[in-house]
Amino acid sequence: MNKTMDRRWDLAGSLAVVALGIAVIIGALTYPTPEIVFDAIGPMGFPLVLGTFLVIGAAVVSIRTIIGLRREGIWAVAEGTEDEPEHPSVGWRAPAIIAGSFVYLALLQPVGFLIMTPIALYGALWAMQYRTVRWRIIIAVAFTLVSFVIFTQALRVPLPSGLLDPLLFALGLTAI
Amino acid sequence: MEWLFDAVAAFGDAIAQGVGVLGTPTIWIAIAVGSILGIIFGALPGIGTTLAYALVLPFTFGLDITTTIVLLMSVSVGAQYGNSIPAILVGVPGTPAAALTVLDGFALHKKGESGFALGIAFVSAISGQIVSILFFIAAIIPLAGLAYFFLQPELFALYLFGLVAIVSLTGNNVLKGLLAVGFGLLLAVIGLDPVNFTQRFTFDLPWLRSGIESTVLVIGLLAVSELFRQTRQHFQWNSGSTERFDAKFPRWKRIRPTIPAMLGGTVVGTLIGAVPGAGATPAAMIAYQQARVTSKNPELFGKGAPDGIAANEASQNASNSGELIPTLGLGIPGSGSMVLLLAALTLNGFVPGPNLVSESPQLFHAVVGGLLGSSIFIIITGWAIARVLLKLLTINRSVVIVMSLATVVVGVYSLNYRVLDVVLCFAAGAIGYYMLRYGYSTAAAALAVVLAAGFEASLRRGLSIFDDDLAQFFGRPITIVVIVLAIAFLVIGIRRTVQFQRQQAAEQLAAMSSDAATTGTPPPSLDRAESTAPPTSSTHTDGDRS
Repeated sequence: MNKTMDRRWDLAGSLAVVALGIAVIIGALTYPTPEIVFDAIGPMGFPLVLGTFLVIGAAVVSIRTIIGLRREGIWAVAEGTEDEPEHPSVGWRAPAIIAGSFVYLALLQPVGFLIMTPIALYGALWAMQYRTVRWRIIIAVAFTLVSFVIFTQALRVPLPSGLLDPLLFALGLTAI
Repeated sequence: MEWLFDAVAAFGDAIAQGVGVLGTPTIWIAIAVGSILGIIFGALPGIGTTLAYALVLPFTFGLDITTTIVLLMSVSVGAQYGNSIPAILVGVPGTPAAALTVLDGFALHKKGESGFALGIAFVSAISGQIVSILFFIAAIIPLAGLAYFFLQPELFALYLFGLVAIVSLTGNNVLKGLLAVGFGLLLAVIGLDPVNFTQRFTFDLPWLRSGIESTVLVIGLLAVSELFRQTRQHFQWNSGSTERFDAKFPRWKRIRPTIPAMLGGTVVGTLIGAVPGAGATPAAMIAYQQARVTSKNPELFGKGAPDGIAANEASQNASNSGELIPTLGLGIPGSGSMVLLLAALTLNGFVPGPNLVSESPQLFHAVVGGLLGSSIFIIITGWAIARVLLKLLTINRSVVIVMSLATVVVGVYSLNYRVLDVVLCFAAGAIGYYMLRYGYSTAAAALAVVLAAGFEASLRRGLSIFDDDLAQFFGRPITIVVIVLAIAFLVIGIRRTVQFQRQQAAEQLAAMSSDAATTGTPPPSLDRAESTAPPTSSTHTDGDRS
C-alpha cells in the first residue's frame, strides 16, 4: 500500500468538524425553542445530538491522527479514493479549478453566460494541459453557443445575459 | 394455495403494467435517449452510472415522473452494457465494474476474437438484465405487502439501518463514515423543522428559509466532488483507439456454453446489488470468482475465458435490478446512483420509505417498463451503437471532465434559474472533494441529506404517538429486528476498520524489517518509527497532495 495521505490535512479536516460541531451545539442551545406539546425532542434536540456526535467523533479521529503523526510521520496509507494509476497527479490543479469555479460563478450573473463560460472553459482546458490554443478556443466557444441555444431557445431557461442583455434582447435571444 | 395464485397474479400484473408503460412514443424517445447516453457515459472512463445520473437529472425536472424513471433506468442499463466495449476493444474499463472484463475480453480481442468477446458481453448484459427484472418483481411484491406493518418506529429503524449499512460497507474508516452521515444530516437540518416548521440555522437569510434543495447538495457531493478529484490527474492519452470496428456477431453455438455462467452471474448480481453499499463492482468480482470456481476450464480465467466475461457482464446488469430492491421496496438506496434516483423522487413529492410502492405503484411499473424497454432497445441497436462508439472513444478525457462540470452548471442552474444553487452545488462538491481524498464517504453524506427529514420526523412523530415512551417506541418486533441488523452492519464496519489498520501496521513493520535487512540495522518498533520516510507513491509529479 502506498502512503499518499497527508496526516496534517487529515487533522485539519477533523479539527474543522470539531469546530463545526461546537458551533452547532452553541446555536442549538441559544436558539429560542417554542413550547409545543407532544414534542419531547423539540426542533433543536436533533441538531444538539448531531453537534455532540460530530464533536466527539471528530475529536477521536483528531487524537488518532495526532498519535499517527507522532509515531509514523506525516504520510499515511490513503483512507479515501486514490489517484488512478498510470496518470500522474498534479496537486495544485484541483484546488485551482475549484477556486476558478467560484470566481466564474461570482461573475456569471453580472457579466453573463456568453462571456464568462468560454473564458472559464478555456481556463479549465488550459489547466488540464489540453492540446493547443486553437482547440481550446474551438471547444470553449462551441460548447457555450450550443448550450446557450439549447437552454434559452429549446428549453426556455433564461441563462444570465449580463453585459450582453440589451443586445440579446434586441436580437430576441433571451428566454423570457 | 390461494396465496400462490395471488402471488402469480400480482407478478403477471406487474409485468403487464410495466409493458403498458411502454405504450407511448414519448416513453420510447426517453428510452432511446437514455440508453444511448448510458452507453456513451458507461464507455467513457471516469463517468459511470452515478455521474451519468447526476448529469442527466437536472434535465428531467420538466418531465413527468414515469418518463423520468424510464429515462434513468435506460441510462443504468446502457451504462452497464457500454462499459464493456472499451474494456474489450481498448483494454480500458469504462467503469471499475468492468475491470475484470478487461482481463478476458481484451485477451480475446488480442487473439482476433473481438466479435466473440463483444457477442458474449452483449448477450450476457441483456439476459442478465431481463432475468434480474423477474427477481426484482418477485422481491418487490412481498416487500410492498409488508408496507402496512411499518409505522413511525419501524420507519426510524429502517432509515437508521440504511445510513449505517452504507457506512459499514464502504470506506476503510467507519468513524469517518459516520461523521459523513452526521454532516449530511446537519446540511438537511438547515431550513424548516419537519415537525413544527420552526426555522433552524437560517441566520435570517431568505434563501435559507426553506432549506437547501437536496438534489443540489446530492449532485455536488456525488458528481462534482468526483469530477474535481479527476482534475488532479493528467490524462495524456486519448481513452480510445481509432481502429476500425469489423467484428462479426458470433454463432449461437459458441455462446451457448456460457449460459450457466450468465445465470450464475445474474443471481449473484441481483443478490449483491440488493445489499446497501455493495453495487455493481463487488457483484462483478464475486460473480467472476464464482464462475471460475464452477468452470470446467478455470485455467483460462484471465487469459480469455468466455465464462469470465459472461458472469461479469450478467452480474453488472443484474445488480441494476438488485440495487432497486431496497431503494423502491424499503426506501433505502444502496449506491450513489440510487441516492440520486431517490432525490429525483423526493423532488417530485414522493416520500422515501417502505410505503413508496404500495402508495405509488406507478413508480414500480415505470421501473419495470424502463428496464424492459431499454433492454429491448439495446437488443435492437446495441451492436450498431458499439460500432459508432469506437469513434467516440477518441475524445480526450480531460475534455470530458471539463464539459461534465460545465453541464452540471447549466443543469443545476435550470432547476430554479438561480446561480446560488450552482454555488451551493459546487461548495458541496469542494467539500466532497476533501471527503473523497480523506476517507469520508460522500455517498453516506448524500444519503443522509435525502433521508434526514424522514429520519428525524419518524423519531419525533413516533415518540409523540407513543407518549414519549422509549420502551414502546423501540420495543416493537420489526423495530428490534431492523435495529439489531443495523448494529450487526456496524460491527462489520468496525471489523473492516480494525482489519485495515492491522494490515497497515503489519505492512509498515514488514517494510521496516526489509529496510533493516538491507542496511544491517535492527528493525525499529512501530512506537519508535521515524516520521520522515518519504511517500512511496509513484503517481505524483509534485509534493503537494492536498
